[in-house]
Amino acid sequence: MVQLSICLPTRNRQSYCIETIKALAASESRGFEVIVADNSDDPGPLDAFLNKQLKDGRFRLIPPAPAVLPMVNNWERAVEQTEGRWITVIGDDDFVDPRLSELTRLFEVKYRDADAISWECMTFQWPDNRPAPTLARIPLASGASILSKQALADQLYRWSERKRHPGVGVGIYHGAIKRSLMERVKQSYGGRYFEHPNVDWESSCKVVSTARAIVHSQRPLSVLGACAASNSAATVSRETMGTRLATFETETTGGISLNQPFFPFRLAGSGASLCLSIATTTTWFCHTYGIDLAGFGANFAHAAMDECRYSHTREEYDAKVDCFARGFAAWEGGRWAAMFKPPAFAPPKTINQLSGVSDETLHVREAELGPTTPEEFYRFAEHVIMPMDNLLAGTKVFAL
Amino acid sequence: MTLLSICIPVFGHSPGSQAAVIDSVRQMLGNARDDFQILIGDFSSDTEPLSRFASQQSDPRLTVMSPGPASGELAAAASKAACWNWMVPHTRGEWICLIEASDYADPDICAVLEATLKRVPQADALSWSRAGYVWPAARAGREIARIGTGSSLNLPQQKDMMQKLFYWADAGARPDCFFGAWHGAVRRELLERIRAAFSDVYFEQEAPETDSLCKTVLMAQCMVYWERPLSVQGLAGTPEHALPEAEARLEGFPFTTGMGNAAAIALSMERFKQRCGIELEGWEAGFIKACAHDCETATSGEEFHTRKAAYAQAITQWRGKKGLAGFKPEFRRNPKLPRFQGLKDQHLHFDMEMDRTASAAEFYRLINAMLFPVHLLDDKLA
Repeated sequence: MVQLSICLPTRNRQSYCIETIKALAASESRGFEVIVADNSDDPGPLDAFLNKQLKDGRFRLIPPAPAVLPMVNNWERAVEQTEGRWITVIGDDDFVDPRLSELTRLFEVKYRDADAISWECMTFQWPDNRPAPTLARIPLASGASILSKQALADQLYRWSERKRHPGVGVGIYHGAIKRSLMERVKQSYGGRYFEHPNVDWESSCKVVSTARAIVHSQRPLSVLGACAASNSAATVSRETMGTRLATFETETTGGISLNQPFFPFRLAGSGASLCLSIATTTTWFCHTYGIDLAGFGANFAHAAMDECRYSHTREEYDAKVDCFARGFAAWEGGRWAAMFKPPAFAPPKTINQLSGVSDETLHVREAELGPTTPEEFYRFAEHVIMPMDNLLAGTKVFAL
Repeated sequence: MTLLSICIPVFGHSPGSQAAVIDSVRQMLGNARDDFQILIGDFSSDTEPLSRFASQQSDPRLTVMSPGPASGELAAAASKAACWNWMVPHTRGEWICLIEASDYADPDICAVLEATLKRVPQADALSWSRAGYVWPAARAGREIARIGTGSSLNLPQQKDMMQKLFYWADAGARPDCFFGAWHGAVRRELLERIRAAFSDVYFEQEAPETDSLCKTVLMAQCMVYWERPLSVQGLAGTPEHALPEAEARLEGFPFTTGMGNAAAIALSMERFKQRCGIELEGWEAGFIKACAHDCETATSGEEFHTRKAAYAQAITQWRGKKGLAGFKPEFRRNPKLPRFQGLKDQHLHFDMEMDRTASAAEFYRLINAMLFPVHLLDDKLA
């Protein structure tokens, strides 16, 4: 059995996907396979590249279905095709270090019960996604430890941190999940690996609920890329956010709706935010599977206020406040509406310019640097984080 | 008005120095500011390449000058200090900074000067954290850069700086004090006061870097230090202040420049003290500790033991065996241990291969993208 399956669901971003495939194929490791689940309108480019040009036995292509699939179904068929002992999913404009396969072996020995591995991610904007100054992110620490499932549950389901989004990402997206855990997830939740359109956050919810032990590596192992065509690009541009959400809603027809009566916040429109999108997912999971939500109402009111603080313009701030206020008024008879008291709008002094180190993370002004792809950025960043060889060797003592 | 003159003396005896300085100057001229001057003093035997480069650039911010036929004579006989002294009258900036051909200083120093002078108008010496860079051709193996991540603007007291400099308080392999015109900026008015006080010259000694440091600390009215690097010192693996052995010996002080940075700097400081008639007591213990730290920077066991033996012999000769009580270097750079990469004590440790930089200027571009943005300093202080 191959140690690691890397799933690469993709739709209509063939050029980025091919770059990502090339980056993974450059690894000499035989401990991984890559499942490319193509959901594109034109099957030609990836078929030509993978089957006629690359011809690498570690890569398998799932061609497009007769009709476009909702993203959740494309993820589902990708994971169904995997054969690895551990499984991870990344975006087609991302990168994960194939040596993750070696790290899973190490963690299997070191943390015997561990069936989920999470890690800090680097972030990188592709050169075509820099309409304004952007900062790439490199977490600098390198420790690893078992996470408290109780604390994770509080953070993810009940938003105990009261921030604009939970600081938890322990699912299959930029995380590695043991096959046995994925099968338990399938058995426990409707006979599928994935159900909700927000597949990444849904996966985190299920992993926190079902995993035996979750190991977290502070040392980053992957790069969350954002190209101009990606959903992540919405974090750079408000206009893009609106377009992406509209497309997202359209392409999830037939699955679970993003709009649920028990959480009546409106996801479409100018007031939409990632905060709301994530909350929609976590509340859907908790509501559907009977997870205790005590404290969530007050916590989410604070999280919403935090989200409003991150507005770049007055217009954006007003739209967010309006969207949240309407939602809180309609939610549980307005029970939490009085707690939503957003601070007055304060225009940010700078946007994405504050490079430097904070909270053990290096923020770099990426436009001034050489890397042009997530893989190049990962190799660049490896010069300032613990080398993978040392991580795998368990090296504890270093010379300064 | 020209706020800053960045002076770069170029000597013919440094291979590639002209190419290096061209690389640096190109990047400096890419800065949109118009309040700085780059003055290249060409003391090489062939002045044609730099002269041609200046003509091609045709930028009023760049001046290339040569003393002409006396060039080689000035460089060879009268030393670096004489060349520096020759350059200063040709500057037009209110502040003066000196670097070497293999170094880089960023014109954004002007932004720091502006932000500083807005709040501390009496400031006459600015310094910053200096980044060291080993040029690719000079690397014996993997080189790790150590760069401070702080961005606080501090106003150190003169008495504290004198403690750090002359008494070697808290010193590493060199005094923990980085003022002067070399990889720092000194106000013209202060330089003129220095000239008036020291026999009509700005810089003296074979190592004018240390000379300028001592004079600045003694005579500045207000020193300002920014934690964030603004310049890169190109390193070639030799002590930064190394001098020909024959010129470096000093009677009653049996250390030589070849021993390391601590000895080289101490020699210059001793000359300075003798020159000024300064007699201090109680600095020796701090210096001996610095000698130990200097040994600990050795990158191989062989280098460590050689350096340790040389320092031990000099200390014994100087202070007797009791002097060795404070000299206990430990070999810390075990070559079998992997080098640390990451964040430690507010310093980034990273492989100099990062982003494949090939020059001091490119290295500055890299660290500039990773550190607190200079243009936000004014907002930060507001």
